[in-house]
Amino acid sequence: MKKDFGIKSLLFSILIYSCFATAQLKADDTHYKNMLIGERAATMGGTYVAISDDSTGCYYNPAGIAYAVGDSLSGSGNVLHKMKTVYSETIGTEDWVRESETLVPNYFGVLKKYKSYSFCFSYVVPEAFIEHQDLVFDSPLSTVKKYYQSLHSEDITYLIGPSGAVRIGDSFSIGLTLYYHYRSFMRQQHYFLEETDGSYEVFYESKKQREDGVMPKIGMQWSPWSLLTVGMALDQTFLINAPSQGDLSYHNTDNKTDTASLFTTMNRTKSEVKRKLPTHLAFGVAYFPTPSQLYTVDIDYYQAQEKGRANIMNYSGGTEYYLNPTNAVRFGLFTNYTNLPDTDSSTVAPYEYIDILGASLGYTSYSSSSSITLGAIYTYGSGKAWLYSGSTTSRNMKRDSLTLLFSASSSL
Amino acid sequence: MNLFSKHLWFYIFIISFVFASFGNAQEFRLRAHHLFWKNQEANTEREIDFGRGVSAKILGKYPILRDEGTVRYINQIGTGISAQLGRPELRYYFGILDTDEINAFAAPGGYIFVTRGALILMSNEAQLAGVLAHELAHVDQKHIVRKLKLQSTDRSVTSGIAQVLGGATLSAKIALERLNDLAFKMLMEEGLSKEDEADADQKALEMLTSLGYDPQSYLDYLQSLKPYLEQGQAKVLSKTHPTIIFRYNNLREFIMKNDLENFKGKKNEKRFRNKIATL
Repeated sequence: MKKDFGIKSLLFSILIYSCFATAQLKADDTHYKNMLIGERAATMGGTYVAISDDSTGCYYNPAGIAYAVGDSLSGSGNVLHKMKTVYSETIGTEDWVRESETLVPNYFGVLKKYKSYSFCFSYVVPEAFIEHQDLVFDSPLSTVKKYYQSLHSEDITYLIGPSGAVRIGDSFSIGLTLYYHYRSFMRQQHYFLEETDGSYEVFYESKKQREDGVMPKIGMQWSPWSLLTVGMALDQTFLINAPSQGDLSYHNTDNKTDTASLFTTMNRTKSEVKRKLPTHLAFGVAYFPTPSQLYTVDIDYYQAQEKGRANIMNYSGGTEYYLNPTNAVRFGLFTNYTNLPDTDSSTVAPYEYIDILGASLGYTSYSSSSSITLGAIYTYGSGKAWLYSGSTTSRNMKRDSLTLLFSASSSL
Repeated sequence: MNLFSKHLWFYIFIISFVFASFGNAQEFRLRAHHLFWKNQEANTEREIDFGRGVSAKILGKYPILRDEGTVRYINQIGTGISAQLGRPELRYYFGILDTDEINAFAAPGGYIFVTRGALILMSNEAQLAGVLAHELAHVDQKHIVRKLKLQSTDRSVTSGIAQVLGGATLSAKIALERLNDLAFKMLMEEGLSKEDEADADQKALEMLTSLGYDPQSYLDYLQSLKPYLEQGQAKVLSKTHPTIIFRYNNLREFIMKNDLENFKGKKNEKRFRNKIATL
């Protein structure tokens, strides 16, 4: 948009703004596994499709709740979810560092059993991103005296809804979850740039968007033989509406041309364009060799429903081991691949291509009717970023995140 | 395609039943903590069943005193003490045995008995509380259960004797009857180990002081048993407890160690006298 101004003196600010144009993107809509949910599931790398036998199953595979041991109430929160992204040599020779930090209760579920039926109501926050930046650069370029940038962005997705499952015989179950999808996004950005000749630019932008939709999820679980379960779940989010509004104002002066007000604009835009979210098919296998051990693997396949997205597969694996009947530890590994198509020489900004790998670790202490879980999830990835609008030049980028989680559940 | 869609739910149903006919029940999903607590619950149920059988034998030997007011009073005091124990899964029952003998019994699972003779010998509520706390401590610490090795220590495999308690076969029932006899004999004749008695005494004193009762009263009660023991009177079931001197000295040591010499707790002498006046 700003390229249309066609004014050379705006070059630096365009670069910077373009830089943040990438930041304006959603929480991280180029990856699907940004936040792991639940207590056992999260600490096993989100590998739960073939297990799902507690209220967390409403999210992973509703068929699994048919095998819950009893009624339960559980909740979990991320004590800390911290993410850091570093773009190498982006602002002059300086790195651009983006950090987000959130503290959200990301799961609550209550599960009730009745004969061979199980019912559940759950609340899930699969995406939460809060970023605030105040940056000051002194003389980042020879023509720029000072650059100040302030950015605040929040993007949170909520899922809430009922689930039901039924056992058909001893070894087979089916289940359905119907989530209401609600996403709230807002971003405010302001920058001020002063050039060495006294020219300046002032920019302010505010954007907000909400999404309402439904996400049905159907699942099945089957135990073909003792000690082994197989699970499958299919879901798709359908957005019903997605109104968005953007306000933008810009003003600058150019002392070189003695123009007091070179360009001033105030603009409001509205949109109803809806994202087309992918179809998600999850397949998992779990092996329960002893009451103290289990091993599980999942494959998550996402079929893109809109242009500019690729079909991808994520893999995860997890294990659980009981040190004794009241203390268990878990470990998991998972991938969180980008859903963007492969890059080539024609790839143009804004574009971030980064594949992420993650590991999780957790500990649970059980009493007769409750449990408490503490866990940590670490992810790391490196890739390339095309930041400057219209440019085909890429930069190295890396991203890591650390999540500390706390969960508790109680039987009813 | 239309035909397939029309009968889709029918096909899903049929396929589901085909799947369901293969495979296995999913007990293997139970994790170690499920099995552990399930086993604990089963053990508790067995302990209660076992205790009920032992109580029946005690009541076969001694008649129960049907004095509603006194029994209610004993239950109030006993229930207050039991709230301090760490076994909320048990419900405690307190009864008075209508005999001149001086004794108190605790059957597994929460059945506590005190004799009329013992109540008459007591001089205040703190002494009653001490005796009940001592018996409750036996239940809490599963002294009888452990001595008879009724409970499995293995979390996943129940011991043979625990299986007997849970068994429904004729031989299991005979074995259970035999165990009831053993426990009854232990209560009436052999008694528990010196260590278990000392442990119960100590825990009783802890409970007394935390409830604000006078700990010395319990020691006084033990002293009051001494003449009966020295006279060798059969009505004091001396065999079931270690020597009074041993227990007294043990408790004195505990009192000194915990600076309780100057602790003056409540005795509720008047209330006690009123409540047991009908005996």
